[in-house]
Amino acid sequence: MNNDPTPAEQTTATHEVVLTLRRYRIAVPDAELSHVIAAHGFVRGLADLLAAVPDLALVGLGDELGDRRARAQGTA
Amino acid sequence: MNGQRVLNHVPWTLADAVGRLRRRELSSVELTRAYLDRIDRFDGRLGAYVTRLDDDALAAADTADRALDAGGRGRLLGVPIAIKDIIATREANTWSNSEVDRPEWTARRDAQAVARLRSAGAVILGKLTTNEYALGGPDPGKRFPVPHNPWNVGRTAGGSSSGSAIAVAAGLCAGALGTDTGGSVRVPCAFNGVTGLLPTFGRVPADGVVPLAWSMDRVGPMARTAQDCAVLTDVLTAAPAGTERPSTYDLTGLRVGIVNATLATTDTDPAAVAAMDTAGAVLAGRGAQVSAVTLPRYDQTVAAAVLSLFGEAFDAHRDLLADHWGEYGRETRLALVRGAFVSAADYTRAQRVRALVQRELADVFARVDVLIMPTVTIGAPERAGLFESDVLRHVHTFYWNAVSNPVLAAPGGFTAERMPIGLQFVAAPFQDDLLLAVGQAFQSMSDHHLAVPAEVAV
Repeated sequence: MNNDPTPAEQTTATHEVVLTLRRYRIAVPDAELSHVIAAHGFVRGLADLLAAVPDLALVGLGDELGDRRARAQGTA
Repeated sequence: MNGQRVLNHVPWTLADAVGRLRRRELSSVELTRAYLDRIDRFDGRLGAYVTRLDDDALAAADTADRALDAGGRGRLLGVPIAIKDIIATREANTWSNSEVDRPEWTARRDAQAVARLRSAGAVILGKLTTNEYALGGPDPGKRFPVPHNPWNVGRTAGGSSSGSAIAVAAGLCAGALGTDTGGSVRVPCAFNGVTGLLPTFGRVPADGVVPLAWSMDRVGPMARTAQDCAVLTDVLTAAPAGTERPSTYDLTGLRVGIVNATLATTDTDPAAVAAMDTAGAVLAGRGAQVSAVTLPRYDQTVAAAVLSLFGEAFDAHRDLLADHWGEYGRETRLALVRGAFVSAADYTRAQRVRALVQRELADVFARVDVLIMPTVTIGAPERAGLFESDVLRHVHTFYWNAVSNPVLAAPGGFTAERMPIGLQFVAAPFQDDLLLAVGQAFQSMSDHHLAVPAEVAV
């Protein structure tokens, strides 16, 4: 399967990058824009990897804190 | 032995310096001058020091000598220490190797870690070079020194605590402070052949340290040996006075897990594999039980650390990036801007993964006491932009920044090109003392940490 972005997807990514930079008032010279678009792709790749993590439904920070408190009080 | 154990005029280790000062075989002023002389001689070529504090250091050394004469016993009384230049000191500006103006960091005050060193009697020699804001790379176009690896000045010293590792390796201070958010203590330790501790998150205060990623930034000691790091750790963690560490550690029954199967690639340096095998054999020879261990969710945990780092770093810098884009180094700004694309959902997912892995690691550390794994699976390469090079895939430090475990980085061998190879020893949270004891035992049976680069072995 070819995972390369389609031209339409590339345009969308560039659009997203430009809007994000505007939101933060960051003006990137044209010569560096391709690097910033690559940075966007890098982050999306990491985010996709994390989105695939299973078992998260079993993780509740509240439960963990409760465990710690119980242990500290000698009740677990 | 892969190097020469010769450093004229300065003690071999920080612990040795403490002993010789206490016995008055050496004065702090003499010792401070000896380090300053070595800095004069070698640092022009190595680029470890951003700011020297000669006059303040000699004055502090004189004060320390008088205290020693009066029977003073501060843990570091009269010992010259140098500080990574993202950690605030009262004598000098904190530049973070950046030309971006941040007045709040040029306000002169001590970071809490520095204050603790000073309370123990340390003499602050100067500020050490770092990557820009502990993230970018050396930039010859800026006014700051470019660090060079003393084992081969054409190779990278690693980062971001480059100057700290160079200064220790080259005998330009007795010990140093570094910081580590993605490997910045451990990678330079590996590339320069020195020892350093990533303490359990929160044990050493990060107050007064220019932030990179607030949920991961840690201050750690760097020195010649694990014993030296233990001395510094006692000071940095404000261990109660009178705390004594055993001079030997019985490894009988210690459960050691070797992590390597998933980390090796086809171009892993054979010396990295040999270092792992040798370390396991050395510890087994002293009675440790050695087994193979696979870390849970390696790639996903690294991704969680990296996403967290970039998200938090962008938050710390976003206003400055808007106003000073061109004043940041190119590598720094292109790294920082990555965080603009980390969404709230991405960041939240990363934190959930970190919590999950911390829980799964608790199960791992129910089965083993200490893990051993490579720091970087190659020796220091030629200098190149961190994010433009192929080096990062050999770096195995990020995983431990996602969680809170302590990690001891120690020399484990040498490549065929005589560049140092580093190991990581990892324990459960708050088992820093166990790690330091195991490191000390390992170093009592190996000599990699005793080697000195020929460049400075005079």
